[in-house]
Amino acid sequence: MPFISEILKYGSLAIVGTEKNTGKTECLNYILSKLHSTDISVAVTSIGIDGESIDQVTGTAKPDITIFEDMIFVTSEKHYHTKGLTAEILDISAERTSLGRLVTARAKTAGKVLLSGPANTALLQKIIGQNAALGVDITIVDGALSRMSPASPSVAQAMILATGAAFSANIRQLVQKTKFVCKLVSLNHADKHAQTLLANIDNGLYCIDENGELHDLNIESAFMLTSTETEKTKYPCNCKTLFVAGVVSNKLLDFIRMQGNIDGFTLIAKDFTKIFITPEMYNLFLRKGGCIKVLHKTKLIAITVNPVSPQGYVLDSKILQYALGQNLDFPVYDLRQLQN
Amino acid sequence: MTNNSYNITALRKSTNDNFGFFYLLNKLDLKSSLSKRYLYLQKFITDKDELEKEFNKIEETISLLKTPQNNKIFSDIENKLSQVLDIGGTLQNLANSIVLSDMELFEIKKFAIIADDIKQLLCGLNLIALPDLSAAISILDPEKIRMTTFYIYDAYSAELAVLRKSLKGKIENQSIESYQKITEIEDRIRKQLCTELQIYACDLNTALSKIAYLDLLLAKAKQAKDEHFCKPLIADKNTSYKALFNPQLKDLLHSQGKKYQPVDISFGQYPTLITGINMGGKTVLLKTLALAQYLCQYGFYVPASEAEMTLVDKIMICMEDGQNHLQGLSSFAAEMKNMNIILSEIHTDKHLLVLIDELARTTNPAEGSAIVNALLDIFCENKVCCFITTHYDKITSDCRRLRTSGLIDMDETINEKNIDSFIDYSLVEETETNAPREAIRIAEILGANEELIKRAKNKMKK
Repeated sequence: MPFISEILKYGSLAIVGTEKNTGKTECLNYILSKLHSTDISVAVTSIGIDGESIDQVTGTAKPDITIFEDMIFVTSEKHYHTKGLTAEILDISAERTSLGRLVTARAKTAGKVLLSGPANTALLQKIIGQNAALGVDITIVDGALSRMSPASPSVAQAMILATGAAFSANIRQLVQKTKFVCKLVSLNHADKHAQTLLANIDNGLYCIDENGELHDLNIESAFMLTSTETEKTKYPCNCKTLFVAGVVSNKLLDFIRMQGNIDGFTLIAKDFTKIFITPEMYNLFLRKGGCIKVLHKTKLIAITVNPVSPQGYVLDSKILQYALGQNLDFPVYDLRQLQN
Repeated sequence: MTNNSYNITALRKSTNDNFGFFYLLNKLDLKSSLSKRYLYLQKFITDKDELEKEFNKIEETISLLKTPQNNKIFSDIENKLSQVLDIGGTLQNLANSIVLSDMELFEIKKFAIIADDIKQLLCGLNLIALPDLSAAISILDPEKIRMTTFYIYDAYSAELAVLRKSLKGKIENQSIESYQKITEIEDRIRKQLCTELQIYACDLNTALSKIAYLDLLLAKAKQAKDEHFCKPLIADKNTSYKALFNPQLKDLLHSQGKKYQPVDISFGQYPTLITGINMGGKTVLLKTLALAQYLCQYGFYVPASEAEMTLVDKIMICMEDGQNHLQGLSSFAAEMKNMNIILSEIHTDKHLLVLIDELARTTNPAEGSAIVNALLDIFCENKVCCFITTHYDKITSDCRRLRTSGLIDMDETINEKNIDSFIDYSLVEETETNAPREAIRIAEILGANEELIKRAKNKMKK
């Protein structure tokens, strides 16, 4: 059984997709059905309700998750009421999401539920912690849309990436785009010294000078730096190592590159989920001698593919898997084929 | 203008809390999310017996808190309190014969078990008696495992147990018929449970409000103990404070490494005129008198080392709060409007505490002092307990006068930063009708423009 034994090494797992309809839910269902036969205590939840609201707009139904006996699930009040199984309520959160409070329950019979968990990573972290206190061995988080945030190492210890025809209907493009996501996931760790210096910083921009000393640039965010004239003057032109606690954007890369010689420049991001850049901009940045590193690295266990797009395109699964396998250093699976 | 009001929520709406009451409420260490709502429902109490009972309860709690053997019990109680959620809405539904969902039944079960745990913990303390909820718990705990979890247990119905068993292991081919049947049985059981539970709705509600009360009581007792508040003795005629202080200002001064000077003050059913230099503590005194009265009559200890207090029906405060202009009124117009409200109250039988800061200060001194005199006369005749601060001369009304002592032992090291350590904030009986003349000197110490000071001094000489 591929990658299940790998999953069991971790206390939390996020399933994220490069796009909607790339098979996250199918992947979750596959994992749950496999874990069912083990004596591992499993909990499932999802991030947010974005998926829900979009689904209501496009009118496509959000797929059910099949939960097995004794598994724990965390979902909103609204979706708890529509569950198709018997479950014992273990806890109800004090926090509210737009679909109501979060109910943690243990399935007494197998059946289907709709998952709509915490909308933000902070609450998600808390829920994962609470699950561990309930004796859960692994909490699996179903991602929403193309959001990578639950895969942040601050939330989940490991991730599975779902990709497929919905991301691009052209195999070559799909491979290239997926490859780029994997490239970000595989960004190297910043050096030990920087890791110690930056461990407890949650916001702002910092520069590390040649002597390894940390300087707070007193700039709130990369967005402020690139959009406010007065903030730009705070940026030191000789900066060689820049740490951005928040989001790293195309605009920021552009700004840094334009400041001149970036040969040997290191940009440190918190983790890959904070990086929102295009391959073109990244490559330009690399070509000029810059590099991007991360403080925390994510463990990518496997990539799953869904050769069917919601518009009806069907890619050849074999060719797709082969092409991805050739280009990526991660195992690639088509779960539907595995199940058949 | 601040009116005392029916409950704290209403008070919150009518004041911008420039006297520090809500500062103290926010500092209360309430454990349950339930208690904040309960706190804001507290009423302004004018009944002597009710207040005395509450103060005795706080006294009792403080002494229990001070007993080291009880530390463990109280920390366990607080831990339990922090798990209590406000299930008022659910209990309302129960009382109204609405069939509750599993989530609501879960809430009731969890609450009842926690309440029962608290009841056990309170056992030896003789502080609050909670109703016995064991019957309600057993309705929701048919398997007698006493866990704070809930579902429609198999133990409720043999038929349900059999049906569920038949579905075990089947996922894809679940018979819709059996699932519907299960739902029907569950619905029936839920209805039955609610009928059985309804008998205890009242007990559950009592437990809920008693637990909120317990949380508030503990928080009040801890605050009183930590902030060195005292138990007010309720008197019939006169109010008298020893070492009265304003906790918010005290905290602020302490954070700046400065000392706070408490004051002693006694008064009865008559008006008092307060004079004194700028920065002498007149306004703070008025605010602190309001604060202490509010605290007392909402059932709290008061910030003083000793307090003997007469109860009032209404506290009326008139202070510049910067809001007048937003209502399109000049300061003077707003003030006169407030005087109308106060004067309309003094002819009723109501017992008032009236606090007016610098009456008619925004108009000319000649007419301003006439207004102050006139108001004092009215208050004298009607025996109204009132404090008015002023900088005006020629207040000849036959009222009691207090003056804040003012500048003492000045040397050349005095400056705007340390001026407060050269001020004696204590109150002395005043016989003069003229106000102290220290404004220019204080302005000079505060570093006002030299030319301004020079010219002002010259003008005074003329």
